[in-house]
Amino acid sequence: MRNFTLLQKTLIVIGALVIFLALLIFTAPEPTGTAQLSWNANTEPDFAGYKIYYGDSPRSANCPPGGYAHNITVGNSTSHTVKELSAGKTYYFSITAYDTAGQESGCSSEVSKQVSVSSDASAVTKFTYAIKNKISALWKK
Amino acid sequence: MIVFPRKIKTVLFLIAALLSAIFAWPQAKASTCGNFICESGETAGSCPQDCFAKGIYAMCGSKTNSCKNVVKNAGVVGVLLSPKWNEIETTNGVYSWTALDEQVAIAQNAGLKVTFQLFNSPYYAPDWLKNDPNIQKVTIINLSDYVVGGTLVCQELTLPVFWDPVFHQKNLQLINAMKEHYASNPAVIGVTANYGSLFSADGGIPQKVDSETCKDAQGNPILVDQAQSWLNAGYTHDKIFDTGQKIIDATAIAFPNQAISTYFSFSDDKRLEASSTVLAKDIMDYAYAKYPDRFYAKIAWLSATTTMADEIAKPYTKIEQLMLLLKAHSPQIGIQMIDMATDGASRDCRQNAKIIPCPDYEVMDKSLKISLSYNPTTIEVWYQDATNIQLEPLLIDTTEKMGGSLRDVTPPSAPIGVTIN
Repeated sequence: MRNFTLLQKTLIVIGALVIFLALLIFTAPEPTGTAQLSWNANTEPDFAGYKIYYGDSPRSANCPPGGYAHNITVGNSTSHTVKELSAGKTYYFSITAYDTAGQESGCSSEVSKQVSVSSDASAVTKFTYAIKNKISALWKK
Repeated sequence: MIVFPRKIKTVLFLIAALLSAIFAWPQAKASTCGNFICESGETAGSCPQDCFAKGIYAMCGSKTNSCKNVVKNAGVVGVLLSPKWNEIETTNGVYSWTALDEQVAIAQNAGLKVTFQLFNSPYYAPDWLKNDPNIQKVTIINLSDYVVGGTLVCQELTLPVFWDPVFHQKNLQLINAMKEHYASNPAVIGVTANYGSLFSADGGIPQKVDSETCKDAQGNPILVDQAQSWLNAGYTHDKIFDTGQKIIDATAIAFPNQAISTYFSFSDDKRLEASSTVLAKDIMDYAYAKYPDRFYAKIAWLSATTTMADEIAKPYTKIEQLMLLLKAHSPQIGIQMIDMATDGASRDCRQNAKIIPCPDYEVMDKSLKISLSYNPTTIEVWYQDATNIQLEPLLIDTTEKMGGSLRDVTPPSAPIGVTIN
């Protein structure tokens, strides 16, 4: 059996640790966050509900649909939390109202948010996300 | 002779009165327009004010998406939905209203009135009924370009006759099933009774004699005599009149709080009817007399070249004779456009009587003015015209001139005060 020197043993351990960390960082699930929106209630008698348009780039066309990648119908509630947004990205949101005939209003003014990792994410997710951001920052330098 | 004391006489009289009341009771029940039979002089139901909501109606066919954008047109007060029998009752006795429910919901949510034009003609009967060997049929060569896109021109079609008892009974059952589903819906204000149209639900029976349109395999012309086909099948005025009466009665009884209408056409052939309008007149006389408060006659082929009401003069054409019949019942009448004005060139300018060119706005403007000259309660336009922004001012103006109420089609305001965390 081959005998390793102390230096070799140390390098092997460090190498294994680096590989483990790399695996952890690059195979870890994409961390996500949320955006909590609220707005004033509409008062039309035939009002029926709201739609939220959003995406990771600002409004680019007449709104609705405004060029947004996604939209969700949220009923007649005046607040909504959009989930599963990629942490680190900036998202842009506009809201419309629609009536019982299905007629839709124009879009509200646009609001945006840079999404951070959800507070209820696991410690590993938070750790790997922090390392990833560090590496990304160093790489850009 | 036996002489009864006065007290006995009184008792016998009371017993007789009681017995006659007991035996008369079921008869009285049977005469309340039950089972689609009304006793003489009896009229079923009544029509609330809304039965005759005046204005423009959009013809939305049987497809859910057709009328989605109609809701944005303030000049449209209602829709005409055309459910097809062969889509509703694909299995004998099993009725599916899902697609129609969706259409009704869209209209109802937008405050549009709903009228039905049930496609219960032999052509739109379900296959299981068309193929029933016990049903009497008519075999006829089709000459119409407008039956399922013209693909059937010169094809021989074998279809049930209206007056066949089995076909008629199934038709009544369909009307009854529709009643169960829709008669109590307050948005439904009108139903069309169709009895004498072979293809759609408004065109009457094809009865042309033509020796130019169809050719045999060698290219030789074939004489097509549609009227003779009907005679071969046993057509008589009385049979079609009887069927018409029964279908109108059945529809009136099934929908007691709605307006009942029938589309009228004229006859082309004296072998079938003594004059071009005798059948229409007989049916109109019957229906207007029996349902004076809620029957209205309609025609379904007004074009931009139909004669204005005050310009009809002798010698009358067949169309003018029918229009005069219609005019006599004004304003309790309805008019439908024969085709769309929008993109008329792609439809052979049919709404302009095939006169080229046929610019959308001008054709619709003229068609609406002619319609208004007859002072109708409803004017039915194709949904393509009801969703054409260019034509919207014309439809709004027409509904206002008819005394109809414009709908509020303002969309909601955009939400304000949006915050994000």
